[in-house]
Amino acid sequence: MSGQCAFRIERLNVWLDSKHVLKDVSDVIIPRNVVFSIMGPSGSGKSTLLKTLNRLVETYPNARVEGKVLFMGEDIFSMDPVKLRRRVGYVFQQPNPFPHMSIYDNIAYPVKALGLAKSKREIDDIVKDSLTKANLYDEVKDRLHAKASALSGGQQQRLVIARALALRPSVLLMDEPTSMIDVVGARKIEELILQLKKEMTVVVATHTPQMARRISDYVLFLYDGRVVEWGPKEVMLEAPENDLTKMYVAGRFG
Amino acid sequence: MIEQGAKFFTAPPPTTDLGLGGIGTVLQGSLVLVATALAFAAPISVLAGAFIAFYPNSFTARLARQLAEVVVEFPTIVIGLSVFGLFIVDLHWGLSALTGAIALAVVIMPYMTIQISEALRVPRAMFEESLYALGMSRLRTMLFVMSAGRRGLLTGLLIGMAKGFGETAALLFTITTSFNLFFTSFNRPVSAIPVLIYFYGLAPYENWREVAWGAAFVLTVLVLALFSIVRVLARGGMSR
Amino acid sequence: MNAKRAKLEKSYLFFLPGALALTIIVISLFVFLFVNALPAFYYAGKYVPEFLPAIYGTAIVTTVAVLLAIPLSIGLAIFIAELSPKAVRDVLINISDLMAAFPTVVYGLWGLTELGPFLKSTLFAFINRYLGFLPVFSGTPTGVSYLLASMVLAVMISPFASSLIREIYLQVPRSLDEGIYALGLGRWEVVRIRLGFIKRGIVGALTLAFGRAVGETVAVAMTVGGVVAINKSLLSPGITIPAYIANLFGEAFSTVDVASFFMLSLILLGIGTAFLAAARLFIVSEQREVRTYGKA
Repeated sequence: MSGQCAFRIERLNVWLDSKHVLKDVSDVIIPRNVVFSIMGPSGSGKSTLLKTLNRLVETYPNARVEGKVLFMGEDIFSMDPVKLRRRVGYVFQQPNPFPHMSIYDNIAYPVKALGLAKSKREIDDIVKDSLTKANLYDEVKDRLHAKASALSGGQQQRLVIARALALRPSVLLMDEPTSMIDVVGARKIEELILQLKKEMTVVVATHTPQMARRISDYVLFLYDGRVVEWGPKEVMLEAPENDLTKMYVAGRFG
Repeated sequence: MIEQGAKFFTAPPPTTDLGLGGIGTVLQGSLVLVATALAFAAPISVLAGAFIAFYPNSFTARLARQLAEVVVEFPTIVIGLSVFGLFIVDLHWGLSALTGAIALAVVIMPYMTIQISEALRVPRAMFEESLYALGMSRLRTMLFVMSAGRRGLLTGLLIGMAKGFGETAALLFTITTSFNLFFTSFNRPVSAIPVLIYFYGLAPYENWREVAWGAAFVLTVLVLALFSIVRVLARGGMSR
Repeated sequence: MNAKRAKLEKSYLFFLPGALALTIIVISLFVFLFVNALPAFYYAGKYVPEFLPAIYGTAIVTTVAVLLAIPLSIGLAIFIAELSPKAVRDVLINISDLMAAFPTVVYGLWGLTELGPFLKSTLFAFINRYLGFLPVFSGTPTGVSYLLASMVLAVMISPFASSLIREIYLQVPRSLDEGIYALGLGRWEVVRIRLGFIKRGIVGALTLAFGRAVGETVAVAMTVGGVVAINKSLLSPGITIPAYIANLFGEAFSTVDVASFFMLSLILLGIGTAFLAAARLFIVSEQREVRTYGKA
């Protein structure tokens, strides 16, 4: 079983600054090539969960992590975190491209720095390829050397996605990728997510059941750091077992 | 490195030309100059700084602040030149301790004003409202804030003093270049430590240069002492 | 309460004289400078050529000093911000602030009597021997020179520039860092990208340092040599504007000549102020960039 799923989480507990943020997250299996949503109100620990999956949470000074997380069958805590992050990409809530660098360089720089390609032609290919996969290439192909800060919010977010995709990850973690973007841009990103799942696993944190409904195959409801329940979308959103889940999906709180 | 010939001097004997002597005259001169300069500059700086801190929106305050910021960056030699021009040439006062003190005062005043106005900002924000709510008059409130912020005020004055001791360019024209005389009265020329360092450092005589180093050492110790006091004050935080 | 009535309060009147005094003093300073410089403007043609060596010297010495200060200040800023452990950090910051406020004569004395002779026989001789064919390094190295003055000046302005850069550096939003880590890159890349992000701030800090360095009198006067001539080689002595004023003012005593010095002062002021104003523009634009990062 473990060879087939992207992530498997057992008994995960995370503290940030002595606050117990993730409580006993267990028996969670994220299959491959699906869109897996982590749904929950603000402050429920969604970001922290995502950041644990790529071990980014450990860059916070007062973070403590205990438990077991398997990525493709391997224990992530015995891996080199740097190598892990090349296989597990991350997209943040607020678009964070390198604003002073060109669109081209935003993708080229990490590629070069990580030694993924050397010749200009290889890098050009990767840039074009990633931008295409992120559905951004057509919009920027004439101005690849313009500064990234000139793009709109939605475009910047897609640029960030392209940058992550350039590393060819097998999983893409996205932390509320559309909450800071306008509606049109958000829609484009949701379409993008649905396309991406053909090639990789996408784990998306969101706080709206509506978005979960639109894009996911699986949904996990996280509340106050605990997994309330998780399962296939249809079950979770139409007929959940837990009352809390029912209320959340119905929009009664959060 | 800094203490080349520093053992010979801690005090009084006057400097001579070829022997070694001491730095008594300049030491005394600097003390007098700085003290006088502070006497001029401190009241103005404190009042102006307080004014800027308490009435930040008034035209005068904004103007004063802008001017202070501009002058702070001025090459001090230009200030010395102007004071020279005004007092010594036009008014025919001649080189004297007074002109030197005035030049120093003009140099340190803007800096101290800005320091003080910044130092008062925090106590003001903290206390103003509660004091007014208690029914205190404006004047009393301001005096209270100033007392609460006295560490900051003192810091500003101390830094001004340190700068006064180390300031060379402004004094080049306004005090004497002969270092033999002790201070007598305000109308007579006087000398100062940094100017001594400047001239003696450039001199071709080996022993003169040693004197310069000795003076530099004394100056360094002095400035370090002042800054240490500032550091201690800063650590203490604000008094209530 | 009305603002108008507030103005006549006791307290306002109490403090007002201070501010007024400051304002009056500063304004009269300006006025005095201009008025006294006026006579010289008529004879501008005569004086400017005389001032040329000083203007040249100021340009050279300050520019080289800022160039030398670039690695020093950025290096120090990064070192303090990223590399040193906490205890060392505070000590370094204190030392750096102290150095920035230190009496300039001592720097000058050190440069003249310690650094100068030392460099003359080591580094300068080396440069002269291997690069002497370049006009910029020709001639026999002397104990005082443009280059020496530049080096001392660089040491003097670096602590201040470095603390400015350090502040801006630390203000870079954290989301930029996290994005870099999430890509699997490491600390060095974070440093490099942050530096790129604050490019404008760095330029601003250095321009500010330039503007202040232009007016530096004593340390430069002691180490540049006081030779009123335009010398090609960096290794030979020369003169800068403030040093010129310092050294030669004593000899010029007729009214017209005195006026020329005031004019020179105005030139100095003009240069300094121009650079300071430019610096402020850079820094403001930089701050705007920081504040709007990440918002669509």
